[in-house]
Amino acid sequence: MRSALAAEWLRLRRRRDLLLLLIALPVLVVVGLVTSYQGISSSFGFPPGPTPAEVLAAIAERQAGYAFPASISTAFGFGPILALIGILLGAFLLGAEFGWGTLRGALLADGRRGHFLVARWIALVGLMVLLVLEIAVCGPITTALLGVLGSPPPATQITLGQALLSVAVWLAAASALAILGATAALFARSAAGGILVAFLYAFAELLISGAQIFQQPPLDVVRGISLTGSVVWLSTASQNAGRPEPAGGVTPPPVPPEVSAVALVAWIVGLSLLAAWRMARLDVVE
Amino acid sequence: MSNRMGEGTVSRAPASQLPAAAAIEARGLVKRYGDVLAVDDLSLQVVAGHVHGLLGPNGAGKTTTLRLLTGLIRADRGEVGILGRPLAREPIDARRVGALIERPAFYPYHSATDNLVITGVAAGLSRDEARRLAGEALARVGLASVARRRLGGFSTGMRQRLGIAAAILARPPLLILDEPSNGLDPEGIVDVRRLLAALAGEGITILLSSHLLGEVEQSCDRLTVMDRGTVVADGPTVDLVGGGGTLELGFASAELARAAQALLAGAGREVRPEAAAPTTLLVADGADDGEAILRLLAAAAVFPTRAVPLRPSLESRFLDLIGAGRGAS
Repeated sequence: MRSALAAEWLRLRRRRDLLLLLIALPVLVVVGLVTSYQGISSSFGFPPGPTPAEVLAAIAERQAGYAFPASISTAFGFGPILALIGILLGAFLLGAEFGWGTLRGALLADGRRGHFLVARWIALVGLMVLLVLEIAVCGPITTALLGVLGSPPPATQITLGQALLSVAVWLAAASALAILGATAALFARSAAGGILVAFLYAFAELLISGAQIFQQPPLDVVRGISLTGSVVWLSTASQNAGRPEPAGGVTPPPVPPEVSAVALVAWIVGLSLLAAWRMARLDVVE
Repeated sequence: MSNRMGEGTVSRAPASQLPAAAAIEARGLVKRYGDVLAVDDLSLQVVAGHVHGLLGPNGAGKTTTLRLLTGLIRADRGEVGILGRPLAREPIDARRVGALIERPAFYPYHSATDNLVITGVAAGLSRDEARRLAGEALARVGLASVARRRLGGFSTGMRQRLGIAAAILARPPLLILDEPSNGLDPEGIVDVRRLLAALAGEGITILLSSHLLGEVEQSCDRLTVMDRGTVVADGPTVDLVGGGGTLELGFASAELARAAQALLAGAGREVRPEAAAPTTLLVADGADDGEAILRLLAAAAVFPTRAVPLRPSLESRFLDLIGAGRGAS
């Protein structure tokens, strides 16, 4: 297994697309956070004259989300981008092996398919850890940058533990979506096919869970335990942790976040087993 | 390219890795792709220390067979043993089996050396050892001067050479090569032939699939001819190529009638005159028995002015075998 991991490191270390992603993502997140912070005041429309106290309180509450440690979970407002990157990266990392024909070479070098897959999974999750940590670090960097720019955010009541919950949630969510992309590529035998299959699946799941029948008991449980549903519900719950007023937009499913967390882990395990089954039976003809 | 294939040295595999009597043993292999029966009850034995050719027309099932032997695809039925171990339980790695199947494929953003190092490390070599062996293998296939160049700028022939380098990298005792001369210019083909001869001289077992009959005839001491997924002929190259053939005998015109009479009476073979040369007789299947036929003529006091065994080429034998197989089916 050590040799498979060492070979995996050698395969990935000079990929410029990965390097570019690792450099560009935090820059984009920090720029996005600073811009959205500076736009908070103007997002509140109020009549000319003295600003009402309740509006000032609302602005202060929004701005407090950019203070450390709340800025960590605020940074994960870019989570949907991470979800997108997860699917794309998963599909590209595995699908490219079919496109280049290098899966054949990898399996001729070491025919133990399980080793190849586990090494690729570890690499994929490792990349997701890097990306999630990068985004998490963007929070404190933004807080510091706002101080340097002369508009430090007001203090927050959110604890570090509550903020780190977002990191854990997005680590699991991004890994699950990356594994979805990789598994789809394994079935589709190409990166493009994998991306298509993974996105079609995610959209179909969102569409189905959005149907009226899944808004009412007992089927509304599906929203909390489906792959996309658990990601959305957990990310919303982690964003709201410790905040006086929950962010709007998501109707909570009737399952506690803990159940969705278990469901998400089950998705990771289930997709990995599916990929292992596929890999063991795959005829490599590319 | 300053270096030529076949130059340099490659040490013999350690004794513990030397193959058993049968380097490859396949029994009853069946592989079906949907409605297409690609390999049909194929059995194959490659004896250790030999260069074994796998010959067949396009679509005969050669590449599918090699994929089955390397575990890239799974057989619907049958079993494969590689170097005395069942493939199903013990998959191959580049230290035991060096393989080039179809067109070589490498990571385009890595250099030639780095691609080989990845292969070596995946097979269990240390990075330093893989780098050292990569240098040797690249020198051996004539790519030393482009070792650090990225694969993006490699020609088809250079990729093919790199594929051969990847196969010989970890000094395996068994090589499985699918059309190794594909994409090479005539000089490259000669280089490959020379390299194969050098590797065979080092005791490495080679299974070579090719549609270049000359390459197979010159490189292989044993042959398996495939058509439509089955084996139509199998055996030593000399038997498959050298067997049979006509004996051409030239006579003085005065002795022609007596010669024909003696041959018809004693040779037990079809004897016919050569249409283009009236003083020449052709003895069917007499090429291997020239001495006995000459003794027979001497006993009848007839002496030919010339005796030439006309051996069939591998090409004609190949076409005969394929034709016979198809006729039988």
